Amino acid sequence: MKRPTHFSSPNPASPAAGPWRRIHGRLRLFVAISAFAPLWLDNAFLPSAVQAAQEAGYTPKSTEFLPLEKGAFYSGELALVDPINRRAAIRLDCPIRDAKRASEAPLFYIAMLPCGELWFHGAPATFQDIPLGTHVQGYFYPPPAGQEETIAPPPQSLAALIPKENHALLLEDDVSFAKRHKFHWKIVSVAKDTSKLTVKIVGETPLHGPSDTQILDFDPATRVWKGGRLVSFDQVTPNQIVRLNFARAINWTDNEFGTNDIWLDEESLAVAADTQDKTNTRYHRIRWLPGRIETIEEFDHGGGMVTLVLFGGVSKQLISDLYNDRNERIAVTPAEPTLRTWTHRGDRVFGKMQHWENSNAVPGFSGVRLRLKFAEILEHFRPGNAVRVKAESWLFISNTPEERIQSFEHRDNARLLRLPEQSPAPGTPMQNK
Amino acid sequence: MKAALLLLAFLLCFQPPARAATPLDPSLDFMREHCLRCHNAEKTKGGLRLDQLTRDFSDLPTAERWSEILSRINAGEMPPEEEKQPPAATVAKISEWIHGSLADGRASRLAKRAPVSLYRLSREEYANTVRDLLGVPFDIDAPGSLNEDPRWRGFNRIGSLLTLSPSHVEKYYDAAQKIISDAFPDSAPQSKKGKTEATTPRAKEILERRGVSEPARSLILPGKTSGSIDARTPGLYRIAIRLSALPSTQGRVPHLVIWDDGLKRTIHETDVDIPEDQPEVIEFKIHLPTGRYSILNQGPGVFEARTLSLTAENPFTHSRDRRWVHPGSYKLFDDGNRALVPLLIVDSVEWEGPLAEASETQKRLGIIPADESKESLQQALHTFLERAWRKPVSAQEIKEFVDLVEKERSAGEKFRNAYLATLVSALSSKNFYYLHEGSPAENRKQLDAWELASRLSYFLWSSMPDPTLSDLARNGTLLQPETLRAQVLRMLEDPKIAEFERHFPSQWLQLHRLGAFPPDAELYPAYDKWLEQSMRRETELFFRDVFRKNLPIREFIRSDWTYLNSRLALHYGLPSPGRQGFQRVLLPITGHRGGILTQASLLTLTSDGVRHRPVHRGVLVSESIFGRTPPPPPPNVEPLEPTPQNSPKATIRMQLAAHATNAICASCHSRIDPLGFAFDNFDAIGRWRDKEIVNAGLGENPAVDATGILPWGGAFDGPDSFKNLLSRDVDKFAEALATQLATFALRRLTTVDDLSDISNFTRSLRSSDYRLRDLIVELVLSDLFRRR
Repeated sequence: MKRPTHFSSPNPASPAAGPWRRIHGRLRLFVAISAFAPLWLDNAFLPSAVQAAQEAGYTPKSTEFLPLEKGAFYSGELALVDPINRRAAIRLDCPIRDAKRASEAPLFYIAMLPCGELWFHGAPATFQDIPLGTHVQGYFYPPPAGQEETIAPPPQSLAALIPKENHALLLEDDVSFAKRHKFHWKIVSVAKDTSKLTVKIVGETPLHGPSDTQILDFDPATRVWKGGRLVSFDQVTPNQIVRLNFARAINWTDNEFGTNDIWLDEESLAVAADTQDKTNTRYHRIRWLPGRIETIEEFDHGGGMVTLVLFGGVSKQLISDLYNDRNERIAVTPAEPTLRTWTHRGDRVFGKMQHWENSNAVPGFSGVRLRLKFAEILEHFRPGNAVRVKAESWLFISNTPEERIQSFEHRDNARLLRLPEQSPAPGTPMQNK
Repeated sequence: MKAALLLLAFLLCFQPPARAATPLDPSLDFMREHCLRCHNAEKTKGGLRLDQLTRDFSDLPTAERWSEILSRINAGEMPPEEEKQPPAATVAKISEWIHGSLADGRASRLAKRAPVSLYRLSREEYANTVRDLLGVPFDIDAPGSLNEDPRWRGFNRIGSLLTLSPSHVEKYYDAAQKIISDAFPDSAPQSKKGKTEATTPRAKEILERRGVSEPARSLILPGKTSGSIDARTPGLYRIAIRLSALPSTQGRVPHLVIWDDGLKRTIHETDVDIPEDQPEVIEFKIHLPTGRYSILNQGPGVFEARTLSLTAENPFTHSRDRRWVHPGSYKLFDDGNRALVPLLIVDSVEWEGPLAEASETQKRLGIIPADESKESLQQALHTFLERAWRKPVSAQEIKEFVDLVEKERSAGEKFRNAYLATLVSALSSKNFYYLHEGSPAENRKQLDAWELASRLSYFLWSSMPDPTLSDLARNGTLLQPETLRAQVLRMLEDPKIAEFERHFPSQWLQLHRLGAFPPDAELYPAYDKWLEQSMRRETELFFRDVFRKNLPIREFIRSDWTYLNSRLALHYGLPSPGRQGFQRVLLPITGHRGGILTQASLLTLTSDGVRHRPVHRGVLVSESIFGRTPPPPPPNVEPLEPTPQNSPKATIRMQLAAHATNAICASCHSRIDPLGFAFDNFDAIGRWRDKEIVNAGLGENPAVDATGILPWGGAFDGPDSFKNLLSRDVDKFAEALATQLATFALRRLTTVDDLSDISNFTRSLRSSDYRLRDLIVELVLSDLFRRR
């Protein structure tokens, strides 16, 4: 298959609509920014994606859960998102006096691993929940086998600026990161004249992440939360122990940050987390819980016994829903590595629960392993393949056309990160390699 | 003097109705001492009361009862072990007395029989007769066809059960009309052709777009159909299918069925074991009633319509190319590209018909008169009626049909139609669908030649006598023993003997019960119709082999061979025969199979779809091997209680323990249960097991206990030793099998008056080890066969 010269994400909207209207909301931003993309995208001497992945070292297998600590840690500002395909672009944090990065660094394009988790405000999230401009950090791996060409590598001249580990196991905002690593920020001083807030880590200092003292910009757009409500900035005083998210600062080239949100008490963050959790619940009740096939034993007379694991990064309420419905029929449908489905209701088959196993959750894995017996098994039921799982009590809601995979050609298109104006028209077959 | 004469006359006239106990009659003392304590007015153990049993041996039911008593005493079954036993001399005396009394009463019993016996043809015999008479196939399974025949222990040709109702008469008339209409249609049916190919224009377009050069093929999943054969006119059709197969990873090959879409039944079936890359054309001719037929891949599995819609846009070309297999379609191949379930690949289906088959049309030659003259009419009627009614036809009978033709013609009907109406009438007559034995004017004890010919042909061919047999009946030479022997040997070699090979074992072993309790799909998901059919076929082919090779009947009890196809081999856990269809295979010594008693057919038909039933298995062994049917259970017997959840798991045998401890149960079950427990190692569908899976209760699944002691002595510890015990003494089995053959041949239950004949011709074969074919020949040559 010939590598396209520009990135795009597919959007199989009506062919009757004009090209701009065919582009999904956030992707318009993607298009706008990529209009200024450097010419390296047209460079004929792009290093092979496979080679790049191999040079990165360890290649994750589709059947394993990866240790967080062996992933590469990167942080930066969320610049672009493709929530349908779980891909994004990050402007990596700029170390002090890195002029080349400050002036030339391209965006770091990433894809979530199928089991990759997103967290926002201390709760599971999806890309459509996280505003552009949010400072995020995460642990990354090279692409899994078979997905090396999802994201094209940068041109050789800039390769050093862009990591090879471009598939995220975990991506989260600052407050989620701090909760995970069990630290807070202490307000050291508030300088209203310079609009600077000095903060210091209180608690365990993380191995990766921000340095333990930060001088943050603030302005009237900075939100302060207390008692679950917005309050004025005057409520921020020294010696307070707070939670906060970073933002871009004027001196971003010197690795300086601002702040968008400051939570003065745990109650406020709990409200934010609860809201996010409910949003996540709503999202997954429509699209179903993600997981993957672990083992399968096919019967000679059709059907089979399937063990599947549920991914992490989903609300506990959803797991609880499924557990409460464990004696009902469990619907399972095929999913792409992006967790997109074709027609999840049409494709689903029903399994009967044989065994529910709870074990320790690790990044990517909720800790829940299910053994299901099926009278019908699908072509997609092979170890390592992603699936979506529905509890019987959830109302069925159709997926929207832009979220569905609609043909083999569409599927092949969607496996690569693309810009929409370079997408073939819907239904156009891919050129064979 | 006068008084003396009067007294003498009085004594001569007076015939006491029952033979009273005399000082020479030891039965009264014997009964009083050993029987009446349990079999009297107050206590009727086993439902038997003997205090009122008469000594009228001229009465058949009474004679049967005494015969049963004799049998029980001689077998040592009565009196029971725990009761006082009579001395041997007493037993000998009572046996001799009963035996003698039975013999004395025989003539009286026979004299009491009706002068004429009528035996209605069974449905299969009716259809075969129509086929041999007119070359027309008659579908007995079509809706509205003939009523199903009642059975007695599997036999569906017992005259006393095959009664006639107004419904039967109506159906015979309807059937006759259809048969004559099919045999002599107004115009010859036009033959049509059709062809369906897997490569449709749409499939070609899609494959071209994808750059695939291989043609599309139709991949048929288990339980799914493809193709269509449109038989608008019933008749003989030629069907040619180009196909290949992908056996499952477990070695199960797909089973092709020509499926009647309307009536949901199988018309033709075969296993397919042709490699994917070397498709072949299989061609066959079959009779199809009017309807639409599909190619079905028969097998278990839940495969709904999803794949059909998905593959319409993703045509199948080869198992190795799965680039466009929709993730939501069924998983058919494992990661090594091997089929998970048996798959049929059809490239094309071609059909043509109805075809004219010379062997069928020839049978109708000479039935229609050469011209419309009275002589020709009489000649044609005489020929047809004698053939159809299988007996000489009187001038009066012919005149009635001639009159019918004339009556129709005078009403304006054409000659041809008027004549066909007489043929319908002839087939609607009881002379056609009944076998007559005897004459009203005389009480014949022996069959005449025509009756003998019919009895012989319906015994061996389930159909009417052929011209050779009819000629020998006409000239009377069939009654000569040498002629009769020659004919039976000839008939045993005729292809029509296949009817006997199929019907007799099916009825003797009650194979009609197979499928009456379909195994539970949850418990036995791999059980399917083809497996069931394969089970039946194994038994039929096994019988056929013993019969054709004239093997000793001991093979039925214990053999080192059987017939298997790949499906049954998989079921038994044995290697596949390697070739398509059924093959004769040698069995492994430790395989526990061999003989008929451990064939899956018998083991499954005695189950209830959920579990095995040792008592039913015991009854079947008792009936089929020993010819003894145990008495039915008393009313209101409680069903087996399920094991309580907090009790240890118990096998069915353990739950039947009351049969041994309760005296009322034990009187019968001590003779039934051991015959069933011997096969407890086989589950409800005939698979071997060492442990019995028990869902209710605590603990591990218990081990199977297949030990026991035969009622007449001899311990066994499983099916192999059980079969060894039985095979040491086959005298009883030989007599029992001969009795079954006699029931089949004579179309009636055997009576006490048949026992000596059966015993005589059976014993004559002891020295040659009771070979099956010889047994049949001796039966035909026996007095029993020639007697009414």
